[in-house]
Amino acid sequence: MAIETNSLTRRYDGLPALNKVSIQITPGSRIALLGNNGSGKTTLLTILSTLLQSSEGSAKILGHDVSKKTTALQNIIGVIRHQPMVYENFSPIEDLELFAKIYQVPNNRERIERLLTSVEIWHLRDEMIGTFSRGQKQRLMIAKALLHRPKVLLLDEPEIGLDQDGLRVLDQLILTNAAEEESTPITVLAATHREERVDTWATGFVRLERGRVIETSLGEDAL
Amino acid sequence: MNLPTQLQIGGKLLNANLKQAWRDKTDWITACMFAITALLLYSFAFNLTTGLVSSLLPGVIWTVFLFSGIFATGQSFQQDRQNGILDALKISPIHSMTIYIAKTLANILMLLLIEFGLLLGATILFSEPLFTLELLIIVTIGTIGYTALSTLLSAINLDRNNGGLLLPVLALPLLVPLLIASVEATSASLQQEASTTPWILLLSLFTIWSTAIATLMFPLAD
Amino acid sequence: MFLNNIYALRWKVLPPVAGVAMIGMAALALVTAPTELIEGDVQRLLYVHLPSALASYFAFTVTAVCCILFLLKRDFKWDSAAQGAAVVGLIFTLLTLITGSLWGKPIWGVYWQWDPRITTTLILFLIFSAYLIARKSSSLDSDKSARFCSIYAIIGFLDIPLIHMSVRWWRTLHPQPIIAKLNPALPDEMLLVTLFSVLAVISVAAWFITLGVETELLSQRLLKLKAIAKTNISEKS
Repeated sequence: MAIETNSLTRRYDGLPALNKVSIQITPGSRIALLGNNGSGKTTLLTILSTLLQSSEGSAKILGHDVSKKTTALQNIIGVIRHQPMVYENFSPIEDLELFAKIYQVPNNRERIERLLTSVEIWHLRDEMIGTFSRGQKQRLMIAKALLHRPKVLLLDEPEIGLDQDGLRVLDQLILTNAAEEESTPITVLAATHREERVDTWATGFVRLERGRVIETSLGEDAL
Repeated sequence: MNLPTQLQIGGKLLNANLKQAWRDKTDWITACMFAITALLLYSFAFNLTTGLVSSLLPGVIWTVFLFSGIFATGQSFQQDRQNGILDALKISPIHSMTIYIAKTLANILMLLLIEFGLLLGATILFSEPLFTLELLIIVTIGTIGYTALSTLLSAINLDRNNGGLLLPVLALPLLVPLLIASVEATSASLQQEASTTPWILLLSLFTIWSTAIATLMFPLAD
Repeated sequence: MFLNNIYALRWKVLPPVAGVAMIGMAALALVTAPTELIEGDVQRLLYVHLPSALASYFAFTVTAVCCILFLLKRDFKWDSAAQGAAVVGLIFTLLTLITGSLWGKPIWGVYWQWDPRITTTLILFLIFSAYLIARKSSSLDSDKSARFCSIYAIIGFLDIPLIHMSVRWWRTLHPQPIIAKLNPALPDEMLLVTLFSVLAVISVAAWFITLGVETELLSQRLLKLKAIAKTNISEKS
């Protein structure tokens, strides 16, 4: 399984934000995580990103337990969160170069150039990120999430701030990258409120309500 | 990830932290201004403008350093947290200890810059030999000690509005050995006494202890 | 299992033992113990002061151990236990400082001296007050807050010997140890009363720590029950 959770629970102030969530996502799937505000989408993604410990239950990504942060696990996940994760007083090149070194990405200059071109902000490569619009930062986040060629993408509302062109870029990169790495297909789990767009890119979905899974369709790749 | 790689990446992160601190100097300049203002206030309050400064000056210098240093380091992880950078680093393969060490080293270098500048200024203002090698060594060891602990405490977001005010309340009682040793060592150095060594030893002991504890504890705070 | 069985007897054993011991201690300290020649009756404060100091060290040791256990096991019951013990530690630290001051005034002429032990005790009070302020002002089941406060309490606890050593180098005025040495400098009757007082106060401290721990655990349980009730109400609506 690419992503596997078993009775995953997380409580805040005693209240379960996530309540016994058990899902299994096969490699190569592109799954939309649906649900209203407060349904637990962000909590689930945050736990899978290794940024939060669950109160009960377990979760694995490609066999790696997310509660034990290992280098192997960190190298295979790419994350986009609600908030951009960028150095405001760096340029995109500086920011991506630093993280390319951290992830030990080979030929990082070429990779960075290619990604910034793909997300169509190559012309802003030397500008301070603090001057960017929300949409431009989001494009940078897309490039950053793909920098180290992750096997699993965990995206929390990646469409935020993106215009039509930005959405096109997002769809292309989620689909193109999935096609590029055919030997090891990328798995995508993306929380979204834009349900009308789900058919354009997703192979299945998981719907949460009040922390519980109320509906799933894990597509033709599902068991 | 092996140790040489972690060290190499740590170096890059230190560079990034210094670059960040240099480009967004607001908090550091504020700390510097606070230190200068506090020093001037103390000099009027204790009448340091007339002789006999060497008995009071060590205490004045170190309380100024501690308060301004804790303020500045208290903000150090705040910005990273607000920008989401701390999360980005935690998600990456870099070890938590490396994140902490890189941030602490950057804080130490910035604080030493401010403190050495203050010592130079105080040398001129109070006509006391404050810019000596022995004193600079004492200040360096002391700064490493308190920065290690205050950076650790600043790393944890307590999710409350008074988090900034709580940091000195939490940090200062723990820093008493450092304060005592630093003040005594500085005093002995200024009065050119032979008894500087035991205080420098205590200071070094505390610095090694606090740095080791803080480095080991940071991953647990994750 | 054995420890669980012992713990199950706490309400049957601790209150009567502590009660009887305290009555015995009061009688011995006020009536039986001879009056000290130089200090007079004010010396009797030793029978509260010294045991209180030891009780506070005991309570803070329990706090530190519980914090370590919380960090290792991430079970909130250890976090609750640490808080309960810390409250008791603070009470006995305050008692130590007050009885010390009351003794200091007639003997030294002042309520306070910047002496190693007194200063260290005051800083111990500040450290664990800060620990409780930081912990209590966050949610009871906040993982971040519990982790941070546990780390802080452990560092604070380990810092105490260093603080004591540094302050000792800085000042020396407090009476030197009179009991914890091979030839205790107390007459036998006073020594016996002192040792009995230590046992009595430690048993009271143990009882209070148990009360404190149970209170915190109940608070945790109440929080969970409230949350369940809230969830049930919102599901029905």
